[in-house]
Amino acid sequence: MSASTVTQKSTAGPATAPHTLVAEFASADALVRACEQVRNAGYTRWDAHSPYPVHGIDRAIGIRATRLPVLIFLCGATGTTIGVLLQWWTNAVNAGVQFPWVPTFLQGYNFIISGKPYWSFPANIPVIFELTILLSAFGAFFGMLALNGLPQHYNPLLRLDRFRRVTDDRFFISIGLDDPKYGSATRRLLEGAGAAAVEIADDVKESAPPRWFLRAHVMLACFLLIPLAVIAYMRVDKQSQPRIHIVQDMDNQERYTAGKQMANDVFADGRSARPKIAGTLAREDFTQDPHYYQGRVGDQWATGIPMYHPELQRLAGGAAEVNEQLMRRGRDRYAIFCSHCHGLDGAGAGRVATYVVQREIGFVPPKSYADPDVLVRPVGHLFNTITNGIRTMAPHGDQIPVADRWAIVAYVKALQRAQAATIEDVPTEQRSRMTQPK
Amino acid sequence: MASIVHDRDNTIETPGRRAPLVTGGHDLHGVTEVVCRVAESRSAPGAWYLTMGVSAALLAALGAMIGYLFFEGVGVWGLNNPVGWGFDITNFVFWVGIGHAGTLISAILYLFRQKWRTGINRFAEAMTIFAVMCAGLFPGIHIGRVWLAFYLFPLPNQMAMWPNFRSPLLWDVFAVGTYFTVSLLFWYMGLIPDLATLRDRAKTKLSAFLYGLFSMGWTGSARHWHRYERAYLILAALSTPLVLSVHSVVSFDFATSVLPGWHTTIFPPYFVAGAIFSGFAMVVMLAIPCRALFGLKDLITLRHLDNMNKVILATGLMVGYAYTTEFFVAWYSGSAWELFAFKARAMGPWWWSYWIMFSCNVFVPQIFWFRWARTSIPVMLVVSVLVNVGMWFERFVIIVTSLSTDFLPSAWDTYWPTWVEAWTMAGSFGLFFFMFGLFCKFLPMVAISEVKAVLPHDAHAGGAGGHGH
Amino acid sequence: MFQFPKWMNGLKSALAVGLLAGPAYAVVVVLYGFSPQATDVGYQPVQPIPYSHALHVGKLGIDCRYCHTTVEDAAHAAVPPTQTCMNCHSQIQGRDDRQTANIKKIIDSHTTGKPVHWIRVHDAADFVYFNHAAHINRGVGCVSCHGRVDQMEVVYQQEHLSMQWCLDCHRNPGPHLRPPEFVTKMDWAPDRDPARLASDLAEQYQINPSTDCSTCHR
Repeated sequence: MSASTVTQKSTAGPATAPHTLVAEFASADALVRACEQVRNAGYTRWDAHSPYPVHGIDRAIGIRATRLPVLIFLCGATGTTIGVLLQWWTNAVNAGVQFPWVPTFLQGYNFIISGKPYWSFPANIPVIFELTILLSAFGAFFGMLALNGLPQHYNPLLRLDRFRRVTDDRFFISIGLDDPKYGSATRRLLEGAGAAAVEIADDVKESAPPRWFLRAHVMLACFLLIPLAVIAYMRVDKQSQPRIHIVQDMDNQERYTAGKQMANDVFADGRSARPKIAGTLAREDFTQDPHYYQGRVGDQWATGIPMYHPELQRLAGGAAEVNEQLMRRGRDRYAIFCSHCHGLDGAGAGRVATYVVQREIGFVPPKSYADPDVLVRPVGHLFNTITNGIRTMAPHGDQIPVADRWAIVAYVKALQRAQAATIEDVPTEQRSRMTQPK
Repeated sequence: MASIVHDRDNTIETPGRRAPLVTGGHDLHGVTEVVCRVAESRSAPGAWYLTMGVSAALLAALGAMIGYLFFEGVGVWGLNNPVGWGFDITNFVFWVGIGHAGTLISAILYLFRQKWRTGINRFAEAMTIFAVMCAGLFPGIHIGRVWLAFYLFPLPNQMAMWPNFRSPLLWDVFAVGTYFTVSLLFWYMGLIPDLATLRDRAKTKLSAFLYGLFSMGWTGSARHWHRYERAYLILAALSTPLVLSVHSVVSFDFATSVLPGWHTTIFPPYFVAGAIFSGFAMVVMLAIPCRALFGLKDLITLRHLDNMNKVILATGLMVGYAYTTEFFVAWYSGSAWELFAFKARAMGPWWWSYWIMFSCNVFVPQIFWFRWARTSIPVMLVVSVLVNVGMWFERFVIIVTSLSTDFLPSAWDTYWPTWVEAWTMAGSFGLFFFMFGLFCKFLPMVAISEVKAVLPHDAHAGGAGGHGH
Repeated sequence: MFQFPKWMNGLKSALAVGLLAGPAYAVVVVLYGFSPQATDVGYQPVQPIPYSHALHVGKLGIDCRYCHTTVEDAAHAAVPPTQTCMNCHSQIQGRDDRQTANIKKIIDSHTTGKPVHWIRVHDAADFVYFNHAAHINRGVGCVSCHGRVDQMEVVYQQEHLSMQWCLDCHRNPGPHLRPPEFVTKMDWAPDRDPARLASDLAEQYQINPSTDCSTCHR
């Protein structure tokens, strides 16, 4: 759509007003001489136009040297600064430690590459140089446009057919009608200076963007809101489909990992961890140490913790007897694997037991460790119970390593002892605290 | 009107007779006519259609090859370990080098007040831009996972990672990126007054709109010209060190590594000289058909070609000197690996590529010592093509021979490009010529306003000959 | 012939705004839209059996390690085999039809030997090496990466597990440290000055996490 079709809608065509006086000259030389006369006459709102930069015209018009070089220098200095700071910040600063308040995605990251120093100025010079040049060039180009007031697509001068030759082979002087000096003498002055023709360029009075133009931009703005809305939704939404990765890259590699919950194609059941084959023994099953692995000594349940075993000694911090460290380990493991049924005190009222008993789901709660039947059981029996289960208690041997099972056994014995404790068991110096009311 | 020598041979200049830069007796309007005619005519020479057809087909092939590469990965190329750079980087260095002539003509010759540049600077600059586009393509696609090319730029990302600024490969990104941007600005800025010329002569609404849009309302105002000329001069001053830095930085890609045959201090000047050498050959190669097809013989005269051939000869000598120095230093350094690397170049499995390079770059340009050769169109066409072939092989020799035979003989391997690489390379020429063809047809191929400024048209304005400025 | 309308000159400032706002818009879209916070967080797959962490952990107090047994010793926190479920569910078979039907799936799995195909929720990229044991034993709580699992009826990904997120903690681990005995305690809060505690723990457990490439990419 062009201006002409827009203005055709109005009744009398575009309303115009005289704007600029334009004088045409046949040669650059004539132009320069006319410019000197116009300047001497004291005009201020005027300009010369030529198809190429005319030598000496600056002085003839009185154009002062442009500030553009200063602007370009400032831009270049900015480029240098950016080049230095950018490389220092991104390569030489551990911003996460030195500037923790900076958002992580903007933090510098001083990683080592082939042993080069973090901040090595010679290696940083090329980028500093390029950025200086780049920003200076931006300054030169955009500064030139800005100081010249370009782009200025509409110009009353361009409405004149005559003026079209300014980019071909003719030279012009334009004087604004709003020049304080402008008057009837102006035309005479120009004609006297050798103008081949003098004409007035009209300016369009009113001009507003057509509705479709505004509407298109409002619509564009609305369209641009859609991605933002989608992003906002994505950040609060929960989705059941796997995460979106536009580029999968090597995030999901074609290799087998147990952690991926992948089916293993080699076996019909998809499991890669194989169950025991019927009629075979695992290494653990075939042992010359039934005390440690099974809690048996000969035909009897073992009555002592196999502290001779290096794994147990490791848990005990190297000691060959049951000590506090082993008991703490036992307490930890007990809390993880036993307490939710047996209760932290071993009385058989853990949270799971209580919950299911309350709801009568058909659950036999565990016996208390203080139960006389349990109290008499040797440690080997307790170990066997953890490993293989007993009555309704399921085997836990697969979940708990052997040494940890023994640690739990030791702790269970302590719990049992505690159930039958008297004031005599408390160290004398602490007894007073027990009897004091809280 | 000043006295104009109407003969076409303006290559002889004597103190008594300044050879004109524009032949055919054109005045201001004549220059406008000659240049704008091309863009304004509704048809184009048959050869233009043929060129565009072939290059469009090659461009399509390039698109297909890149698509195939994206889809399959760099395995479709013949690269291997140790030859991890092959045609891709060879083409990159080749195209960047081609670009250098454009900047040299537009910036350095401008600073040196070489007025003959006005006939050729516009399309040499266009050539620069399209060559750098072709160049930028190759590092972009050779990284394997092209969609991660943004890693090259210091952009904030979820990895909190930044580029390693201590690497010459990153300097390359900044150097080539800046070079492209500044060349584009320089070129576009030069185009603004000429686009205004096309706007003011437009016959159709569409062309009036498009040329008008991009000429940004230029009216040839003296105040505008003042700032414009200052900006242009400063851009030229900025481009001059820039263009020298670009191929220096490209040479650092090699020179800062420890590979025998790469690790030499002569690389930066040697690369820059080679770049200008190949770039001028390309300008000559393009200028010859353009001036014939589009009737620009009066503006791009024999004198322009003669001057460019002199530059080719000079830079060819520099390149030859560098080749010899490399060999001398390889021997003089006493480094067995260095010496071996150069023996392997000249006498190893790629001896033929070395000797193509050497003869095309060193022997062939020697013919330009003779004036008849410098002013003979067929001779310079052949020489410029051979120089480009030679300079392409120079990069191939540097990259492939050094990589394939490094320190450890057990790690040696050979390299041969696949059809994908060959077609990608052909496609880059398609891209180049397609863009260049569009430029020739739709934009002013010669800087109209600059030529007007050096016309001896206005005897009383500035004296005869080249003093019109 | 065509003339540009006068109002076009007024678009200069609009153009300048557009030139600045356009890239800013692109930055916002890329930074927020492509970030794992938008693409990865909130992944909540439908599991084959609607196992409730809120019930088993939150209400019943079963420790994380009862099921994810390997977490203290291995890089990978194991997903429990059906046997672990059967420890209790051999007896507990549900109060209503819905529960019974779901628990029956476990029993079926146990009798047929066909594993339940649990769907993994937290899945770092395959080129990342992450070791659970190294973090758990040094006092980085489960909750730091997995969120309040004890309150999740259906587990979802709460943290984005991006490299930036990893680096956040590797650069400044203090706020995520606790005495190792409390790692599975979901609602643990420091009982004294957090900064002091963090520096004490960092010293006691020699916590000086590396941000070298090879720490995670090996």
